[in-house]
Amino acid sequence: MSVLKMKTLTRKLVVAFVMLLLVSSKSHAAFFRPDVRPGYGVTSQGWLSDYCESLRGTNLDTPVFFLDSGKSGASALVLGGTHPRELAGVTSATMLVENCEVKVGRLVVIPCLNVSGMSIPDQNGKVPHFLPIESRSGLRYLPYGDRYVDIQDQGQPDPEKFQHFSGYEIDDGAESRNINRNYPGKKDGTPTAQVAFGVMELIRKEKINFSIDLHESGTPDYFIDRKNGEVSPGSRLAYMLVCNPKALEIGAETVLALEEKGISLKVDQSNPEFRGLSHLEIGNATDCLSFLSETPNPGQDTWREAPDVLFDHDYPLKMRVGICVEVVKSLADIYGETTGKKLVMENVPSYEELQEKDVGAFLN
Amino acid sequence: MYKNKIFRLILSFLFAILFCHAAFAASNIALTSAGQSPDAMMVKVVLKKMDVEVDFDSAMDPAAIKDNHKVLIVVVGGSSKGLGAAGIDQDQEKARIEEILKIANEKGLKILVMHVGGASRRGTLSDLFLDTVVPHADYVIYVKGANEDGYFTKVSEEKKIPVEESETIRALDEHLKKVLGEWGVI
Repeated sequence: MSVLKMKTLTRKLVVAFVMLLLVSSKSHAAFFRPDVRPGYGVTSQGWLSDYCESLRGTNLDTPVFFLDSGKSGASALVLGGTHPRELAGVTSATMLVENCEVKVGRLVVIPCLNVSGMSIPDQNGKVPHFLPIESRSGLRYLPYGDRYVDIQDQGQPDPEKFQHFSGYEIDDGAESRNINRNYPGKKDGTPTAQVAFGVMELIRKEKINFSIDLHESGTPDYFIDRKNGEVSPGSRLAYMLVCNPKALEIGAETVLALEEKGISLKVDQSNPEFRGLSHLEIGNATDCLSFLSETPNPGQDTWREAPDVLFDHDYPLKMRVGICVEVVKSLADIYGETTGKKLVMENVPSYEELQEKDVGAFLN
Repeated sequence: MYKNKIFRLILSFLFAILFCHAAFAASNIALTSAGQSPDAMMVKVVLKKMDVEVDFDSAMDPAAIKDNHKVLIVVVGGSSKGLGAAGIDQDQEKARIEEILKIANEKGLKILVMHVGGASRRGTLSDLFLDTVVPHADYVIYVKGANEDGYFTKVSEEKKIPVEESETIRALDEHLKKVLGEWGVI
């Protein structure tokens, strides 16, 4: 081999190495901003870092959208993407920002609370990171991220066990990167705890009356457990509205109102022993009535080989999003009837409209 | 003129008495949970929609059963979360319910047992409370899904207790109207 050829080969190897370094460094902790295309109802936009300064400029800061009627009424907060693989929550919150017009009261929406987790694919590896969908403006991609904050953004290895500020312990140390185990958060805590702190500060400063954290669980389908070959029940969380104990009556009335619309949910209350969850800690630490909903996502069934999180026959996204938006609407109605503080929303698609036209018809 | 003023004052006083009586009139229905699931709250909400006021406490103290009560509604559903929230364990809950049932029987209250959580609210914990409460029932209403193992059918046949199935939680109002109407409390 000539000297010239050796030099060329060396140069090629160096370039390849640098490229590899670049690619691998970009595969983690990519700077990510959710694709949200605000509609006419959005009156202003802020950031979570407006409520927790240390998040500014990081991969954990996330947009906050305000839909303010200017007329006094209830203030509500909708959280999507606490767990970015729980697609119906992210999509529903995004749909509210892109369609809803508030006529009385104020709606605050964070479509993707965990942008860090959204910046990486679901670590279960069964669903692609970006899912194509036909929207009003053509082809668009819905991101499907991981449950946890990216460890690169957390900036420290997971502890052996996660200890909540209250002393409550969880055996899985990765839960330290679960936003929904970190409430009420901590200003100088881990980046994950700072996100939870930012939400709490937003609730306090914006005087939020009620909040709903949109989640998804596995489906309730029975399955054969590979470990022992036995038939096991699916997720008991599916189709559930979890309420802070002080919000239970409004939650029960909401479930009854949803049944009238043909949507059957179970009502449950926060377990005071399981600390760090939004529905428990928000309601306990503030005047806000806090709720959390769970719809069934086939992508979260461990037994499915190739789940279709968009068009599954039994659990299509349009059905799950339909439930989420009706939960938000019914909560607003019941809260208004109970307290006299109304939140009147227009241009939010109904469950029936979503089943007829599908999700993409209501995304910009 | 002076007489007119006195007449108005008396009238206002009478109205105030009437208002206070209406506002503080105790209900003749006591409603509690057996197992601390939120299902008792669901029944309270259904009754509220029917404009039926009840004395509700999911963890009702047995001493809260008073002479004005004519009916006791016990909504069965075991929940470890609910028990935790109430700060009690299943044995303490069972003891509370047994004491309430004892007092209700002594006072001659009609006892309506309800199960509204469907299949997902059956299992060891819920069944422990069902077995405690159902033998005392004058009437049982359950929501579809809870009788997949024939539990309520068996109760109806063996214990000769009238049992009704409701299609949905929303449809409970018709069943409640019928039973509570027959018992003369609504």
